[in-house]
Amino acid sequence: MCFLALALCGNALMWGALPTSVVEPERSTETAPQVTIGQLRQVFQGELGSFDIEITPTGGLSPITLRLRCDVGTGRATFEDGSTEMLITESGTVRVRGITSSDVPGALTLTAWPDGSTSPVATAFFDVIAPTPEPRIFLQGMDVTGTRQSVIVGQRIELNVVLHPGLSIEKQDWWIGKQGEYTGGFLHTPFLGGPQPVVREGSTTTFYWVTSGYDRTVSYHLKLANGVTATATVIFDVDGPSSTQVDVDSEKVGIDPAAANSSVLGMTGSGISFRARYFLPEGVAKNFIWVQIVQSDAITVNSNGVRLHCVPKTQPISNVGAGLDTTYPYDTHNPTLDNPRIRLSSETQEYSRVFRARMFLLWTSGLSNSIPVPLGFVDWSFSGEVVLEDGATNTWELKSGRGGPNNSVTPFTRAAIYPFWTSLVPYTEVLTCN
Amino acid sequence: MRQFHYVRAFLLLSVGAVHLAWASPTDDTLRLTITAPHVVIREFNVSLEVSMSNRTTQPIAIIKTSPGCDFSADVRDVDGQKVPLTQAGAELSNCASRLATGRWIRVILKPGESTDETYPVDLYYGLARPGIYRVQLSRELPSQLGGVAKSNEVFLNLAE
Repeated sequence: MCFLALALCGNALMWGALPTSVVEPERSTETAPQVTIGQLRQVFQGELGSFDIEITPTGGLSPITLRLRCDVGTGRATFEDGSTEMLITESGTVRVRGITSSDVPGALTLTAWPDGSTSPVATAFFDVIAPTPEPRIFLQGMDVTGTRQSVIVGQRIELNVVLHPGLSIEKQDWWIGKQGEYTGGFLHTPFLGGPQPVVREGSTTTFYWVTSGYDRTVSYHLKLANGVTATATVIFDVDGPSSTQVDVDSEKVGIDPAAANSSVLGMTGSGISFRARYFLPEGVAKNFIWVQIVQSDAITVNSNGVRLHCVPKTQPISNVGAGLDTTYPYDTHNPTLDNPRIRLSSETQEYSRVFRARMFLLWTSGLSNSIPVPLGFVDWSFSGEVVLEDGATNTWELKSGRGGPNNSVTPFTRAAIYPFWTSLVPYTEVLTCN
Repeated sequence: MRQFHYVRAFLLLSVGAVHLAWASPTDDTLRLTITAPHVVIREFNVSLEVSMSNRTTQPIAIIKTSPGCDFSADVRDVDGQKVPLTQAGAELSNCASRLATGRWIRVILKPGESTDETYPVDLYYGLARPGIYRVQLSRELPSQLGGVAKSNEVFLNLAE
C-alpha cells in the first residue's frame, strides 16, 4: 500500500500545493465509486485542517472508509473525534486535527477505501505543520544551524532556509553584521566596477566576508502572517591576511630623452613602486591584485601663446580624466610599478601635468567562486612642469616636479574599501582639450 | 679584432587559453575518443593569459601599458575569416597618437625569466556566440632587438 501511495504521489501530487487525489476506479466492479480528495485548509499542529471529499455517482452506494496514516516520520493526525478512520456515505468536508508536526514532507496520507476494496481509490498527501516553525540554515547543502563555521575572506557564502511552502510568511530577512565587514560581490568590468549590495530579504542570501574576524553571528529572522516569529543563527570565524603593509618607493621627476628628437616627462627609472607584504593563514596562497583608480589627470599645454587644459579621453566621458587606469587588474605582480609619462612635442612650448591616483591592494584566496577583498590603498600623485629650451633638438627644461605618496610617513592606508569606478581611462588616444 | 656577437633573440609569447580538443580514430580496430568538457567557454570577459619569456642571453626591458597597445591580435573565425575590432576595441587599440600614459610597468627580464600579462580579447573583438575562434598575438620587440614576436595559436570555443 505504501508503494501505491508513493506512486500516486509521483504521478499527480506536488508537495506544497494543496493536494487533490487521483481517482482510480476498480475495473472489476461496475458500480465502484469515484472519489476525489482535495485539501481545503492546511493542517497545523493543534488545529483543524479540512479536506473536501467528492463521491460520484451520488446516492445509494456502500460507505467509503477514510483512513489517516503516516508512512514515515513523526507526523500524526486524527479526525475530529480522535480516530484515524471514519466512514462516509456521501460527499462532504472532513476535518483533520494536527497532533504531531511532520518531519518528512508529504508523509501523511488521507486515503479513501470502498467497502471490501483491497486498495484505496484516492489518496491525498499532506503535512502537519508545526505551530512555531524551526528554520534551519543550510550552507552548501549542510545544516549549519547553531554551528561555528571557519571560512576565509572572499569566500562565497550562500545560506538558505527551507520552509514549508504552506506557511504564510509576512517577512524573512538576514542580519549579517556591520557594514563594511561583508559585501554582495565585486563587479569589475572595464567601464564599471565596485562592490555589490547583499540581498538580505528572502529565504536565501549570498555574501562574502571582506574582513577577518571571529564570532560573527549571521541570523535569519522569520515572521509569519499570524505574528509568530522564529530565528536561526550560524557563527562564522573569518580568517584572512593580516598586518598588511605597502612600502612605496619613488624616483625623481625628470625628462627622459627617449629617442633622438623625442623627450618624455615622467619619473626617472621605473617610477614609483608599491611593494606589499602581509601575514597569511597557513596553507593559503599569496596573491596580489593591484587596481589603480585615476582621481584626476590634468594636462596643460601652451602652444604658441594658446593655453589648453586637457584630460585623457575617458569612456564614458569624465571631465577630470578620472576612472579605472587602463585595465583591471592593473597588475598581479609584487611589487608593481607606475610612471605616468607624457610625450613632449617641440611644437608646444610648455607642458604641465598633475596626476592623482589611488592604488588599491586586493587579495584573493583563489577558491572557486571567491572574490578579491580589499586590504588598503596608497594615495599618490605626480606633477611636472617643463618649458621648451630648444625646438630644433626637442630639448626641455624641468621647472618643477614631484612624484610619490601623498603621505610620505604612512603612505599605506589599511582599509576594507573596494575600488569604485564608472569610467575607463584607457590612455590610448589623444587628449581632450578645451 | 673586435668580435661581434650576433644575438639571436626572440621573445616567446605563449598564450595559455582553452584549447579545442578533438580526436579522430586512429584505425578501425582501436578508436580513442577524447572528451574535453572544459573546452567550452561560457563566461564573458574572455581573457588570454600571455607569458613572455626572455630566450636571449641579454636582459630585456619590457614595458607593460595597455594590452590593446602592447599587443596586436589576429582573430579568425572557424572559416578563417578575420574578425574585425569592435568600435570600442578600435578606440582602445588606437595608440599611435597617444601622448600620455597611465599604466606603465617596466619589467627587466633576465635571460630565461618570464612575466605574464592578460589580454582581454572580448574587450576588443566582437566574438559572436556560439563560435570557435583562432587567436594569435604579436608584440613589437624592444628597440634594441627590433622586430615582432608572434605567439602560438589558440582556439577559443565559445558557448552561447
